[in-house]
Amino acid sequence: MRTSGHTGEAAPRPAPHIARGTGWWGMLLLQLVLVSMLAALLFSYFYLRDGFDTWPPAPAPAPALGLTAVATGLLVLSAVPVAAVHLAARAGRSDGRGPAALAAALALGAAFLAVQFADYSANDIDPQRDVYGSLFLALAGFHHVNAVLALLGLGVVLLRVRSGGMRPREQEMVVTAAHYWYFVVWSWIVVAATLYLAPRFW
Amino acid sequence: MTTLQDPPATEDRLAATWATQPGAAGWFTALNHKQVAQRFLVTAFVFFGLGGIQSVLMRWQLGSAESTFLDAQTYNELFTMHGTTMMFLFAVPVGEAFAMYFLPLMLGTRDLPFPRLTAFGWYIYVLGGIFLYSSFLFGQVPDGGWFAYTPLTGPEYSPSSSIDFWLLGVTFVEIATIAGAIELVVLILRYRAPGMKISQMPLLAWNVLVTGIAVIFAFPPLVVASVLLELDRKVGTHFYDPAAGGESLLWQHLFWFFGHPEVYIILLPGLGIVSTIVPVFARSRIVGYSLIAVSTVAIGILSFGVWVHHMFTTGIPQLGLAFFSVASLFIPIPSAIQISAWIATIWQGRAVWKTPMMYVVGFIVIFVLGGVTGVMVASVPFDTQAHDSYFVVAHFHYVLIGGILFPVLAAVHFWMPKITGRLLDERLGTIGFWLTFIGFNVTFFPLHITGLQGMPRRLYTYAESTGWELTQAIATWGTVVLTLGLLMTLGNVVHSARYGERAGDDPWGGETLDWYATSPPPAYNFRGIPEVASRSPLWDTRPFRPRYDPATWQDELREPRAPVRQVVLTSVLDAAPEELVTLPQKSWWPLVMAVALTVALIGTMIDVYPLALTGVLAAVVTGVAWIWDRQDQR
Repeated sequence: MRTSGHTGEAAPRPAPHIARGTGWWGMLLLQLVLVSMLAALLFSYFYLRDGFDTWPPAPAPAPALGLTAVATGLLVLSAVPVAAVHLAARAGRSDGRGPAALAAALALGAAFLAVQFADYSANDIDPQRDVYGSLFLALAGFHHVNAVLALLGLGVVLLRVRSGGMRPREQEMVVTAAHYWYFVVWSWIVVAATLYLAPRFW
Repeated sequence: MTTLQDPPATEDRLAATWATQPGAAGWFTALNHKQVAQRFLVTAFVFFGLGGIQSVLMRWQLGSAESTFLDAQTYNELFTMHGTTMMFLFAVPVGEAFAMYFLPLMLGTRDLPFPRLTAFGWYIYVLGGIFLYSSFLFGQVPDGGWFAYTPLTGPEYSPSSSIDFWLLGVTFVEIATIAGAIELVVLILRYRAPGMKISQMPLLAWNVLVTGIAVIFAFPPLVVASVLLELDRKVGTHFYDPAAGGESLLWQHLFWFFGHPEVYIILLPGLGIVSTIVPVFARSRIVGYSLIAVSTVAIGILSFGVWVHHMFTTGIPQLGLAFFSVASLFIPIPSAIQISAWIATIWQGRAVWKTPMMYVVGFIVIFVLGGVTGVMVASVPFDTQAHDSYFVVAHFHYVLIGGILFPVLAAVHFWMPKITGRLLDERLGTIGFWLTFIGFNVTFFPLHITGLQGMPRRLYTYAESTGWELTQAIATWGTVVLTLGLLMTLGNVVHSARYGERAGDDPWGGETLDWYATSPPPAYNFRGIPEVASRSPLWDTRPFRPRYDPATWQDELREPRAPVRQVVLTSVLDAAPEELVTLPQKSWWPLVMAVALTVALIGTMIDVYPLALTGVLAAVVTGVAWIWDRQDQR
């Protein structure tokens, strides 16, 4: 336990502990909010799916996996540069490669979204036809809104780090944005498993 | 010798740094927790007044058989708006508002952790409320009940925009509630005074911590449910449309997965207020602190396992009925532990019968009665009989008015001297209490009987031959008394704010750090941050003299070296001081963000999608500016 000035000794001001700042806590709680939303959507998906004998209901075909496998790979890959920047920021290092890594993550994230949108028309997803399409819209839409917001966050961090380097404020921003991005990555694995794999097994 | 609260010899940089700018610009950019929480409190009570007026109109209608005072449609609108207002716009925000004002004081810190989020929360709360109420201007008042069941609220049966007002307005208010919950949880975990271990923090903090976590898990599913219904209505999806594979019961599951924790989200801050007031007026430390804290957590957890007890008559499987019935029957155990602890505390001490204490005891009486009927409706056979009748109306008014209104009124009498620096009139307070207590019971007790006689909820009128007129008329006269009592409290508050007797810093001999601050507290709350080492810091040594060690971080907090707003972060469990952090001073972004989102909301409402898109893009740009531009230095 780090104590300072508490037991009477005149201790120096403790070093900033960026990894667990209030920004980290705020992001943790925001993620719990998002997890709760995701759980409500998953509940809706399986609750409504339970009312059908065949899933997806005709005329929708079982969703093809090719494009989404590529997109998922890109998204998982994007976590690597984000994690590199995150670890560097947490250690207080500023080695100059941060902006490049963030730009790579942005490109991978944008590519993921582009491939996914191509997939929806290829898989003939129509939210207005029946509840299957509606659920597709709800789950994928929830994920993509978060992905866009997290990409914007990474973009802001990129500009800040490029112009000002890694000061305490940027450090906290990197930690916060990185954790948001990890949520985008892992929640996609859950969403994709539900939308693309569940119809094949149940 | 210098102590923590002595003003400095030189120029007062601390006061200057924490002062809100004068003028309208200062008002719109203010971030201080007390200023914003005061707005929350006033707004919540205004909505309480509106909801109250609606209930008086409904009671007048029901006071006599075959009354033509209101028509059926108006009655539907009134009960919808009454329930929505009281649940979403009053009961939840008022608990958060008290917590936002008093927890930073009780925990010995200077502000909430995300000051701009505090301000943003109030803006969308008030804009969401105005949006919902603007439906009156367009004659499109929501009429689907406060729980907005589909298919009644779906596109087929509610083609007008009344339900859109409800869905969009309520979602705004929910976002405000979630933002407040995030603030309060981080506050309680990280902003406690040095030395205030988590096992020593005030019980109100335990209650608000559990409430905050419950909000974080319970409110998002309703946001999801509302968005899905809005998609059904605007985009033509089929989530709740059985014809295309959707299901109406899905709405009920999602709504009550929110709706039952919601009841405890309303109740828990009330229990925390009671746990705060009882020891002060019983002149005794609270009995069973740990048991109360543990049962608070237990209520929070159990509250997520009981939602289906609102759906016993929807034809769900027997096993589900049994599970949710048993889970509901567990709730009285932690509740009874708390009630026993309060009674034991009063018993152990020497009670001082001031108005706050009367409201607390009134709360215990009413809440126990509501609890007893709660145990009755938790049983499936009984509920099948009583469901949708006035028995349920009586039950939940006992629980909600007992559970939150009485503690809130106790809190008003307890803390108003801290907010205004002036005491409320004790005699008016006592009369107000008795009118409220008697009026409440005369209003709602007879409704149990009407309910058992078979009168369903939401009837706008009834035939004389039903025999319900007597109990309904008694209830209406009770409402008159209840209203008089509440108006007397209002008059007392308004009058005393101006002419009341000076309260001094600690009129009640308080236990917690809020009574160590001056009345009213300065913007920075405490000149020096007190270190504490027990649950009742103000009772250990009289007068309270916290440890002050110049040449440590305390010195920097007391006289900041730069014009920055500083607070000390402490560790989660032991509250060891870890870091001094600075907070933003003022910001336009919360207001701009709230307005941008409101533009998006209006665009969606009136189907002008370019307008909605403009609002969303403006919100995105504002979000970037919000992250980028933070003014920590004056």
